[in-house]
Amino acid sequence: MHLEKRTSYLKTVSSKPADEATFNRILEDYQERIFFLIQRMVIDPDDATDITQDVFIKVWQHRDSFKGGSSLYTWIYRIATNECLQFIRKKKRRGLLRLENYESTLAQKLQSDIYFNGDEYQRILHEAILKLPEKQRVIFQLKYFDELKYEQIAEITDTSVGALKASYHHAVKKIEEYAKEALNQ
Amino acid sequence: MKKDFDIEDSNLKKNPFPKRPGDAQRIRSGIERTMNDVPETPQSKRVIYAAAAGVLVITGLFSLLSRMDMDVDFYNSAPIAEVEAAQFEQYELNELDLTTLTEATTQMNTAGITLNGFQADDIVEYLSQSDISTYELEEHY
Repeated sequence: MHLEKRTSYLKTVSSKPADEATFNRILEDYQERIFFLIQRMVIDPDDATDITQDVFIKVWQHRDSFKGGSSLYTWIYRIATNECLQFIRKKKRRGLLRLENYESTLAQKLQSDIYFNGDEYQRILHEAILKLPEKQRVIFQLKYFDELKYEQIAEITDTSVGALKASYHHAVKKIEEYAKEALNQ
Repeated sequence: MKKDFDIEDSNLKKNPFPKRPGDAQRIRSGIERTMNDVPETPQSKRVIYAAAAGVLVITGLFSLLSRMDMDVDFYNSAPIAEVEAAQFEQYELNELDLTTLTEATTQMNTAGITLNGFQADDIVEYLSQSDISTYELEEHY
């Protein structure tokens, strides 16, 4: 049974062991995809591990504040994208002090086998993604890799469906242009 | 020749990041540690508790001081009639004592006896410094 269809998650389960059991099921179902979503955003696996941990700690700590208005799926994604954006902004602020460009540092990591083992086209794609503005990067990732519906992405990012469609379209255009240039070099 | 970049190519959607053994376990153990932690009292609450304790101590101290002050006030504000009555009683006692004492000291002086190491003259001198008995001592001695 898909987790989204389960009615007794987190808040609805009254006793603590049952809570933990439900939380463990959620962890099993979501840990990997949340980790990959975050890793695509921050590239570094150590950072991705830390952020993923923080995401699920927040899910656990704020389980009472989950009202059930949105699906659990989008709630967790929302926490994950917020944590990611916060992390990136923090890194950028620190980078400014050291006159470093965070995205350039990430792009350099894509050249290393320790961090990346995809083919040339995949490398170009991920380099192009790093060139997108933060929010557009999140939108593109959620649509392209996680194949979420626009309505779900709208809930996660607090953006209208119309704006999301436009943003995704622009992102695809930018990526294709970058790829064209990169392959012609 | 290189093929064109096609964003619809399903190969592009594959995860290109190497899986590191132990990452998943690291994430889980960190989360489990937090789940099993007893929630700490937040710093803000600790500050409030410390401030409340401080206020209690200061209040207690002021309460104690004001009680001591009240005792002094009570003594100072005792009705004049009560003070006068007490002084009158003491006056009478002193009068009796002094009459007896004057005789006794005269005898002690004559016999050269000391009381607890004090000469009779010392005792009379001490009594002569007392406010209430001054007049009587001067009169009788």
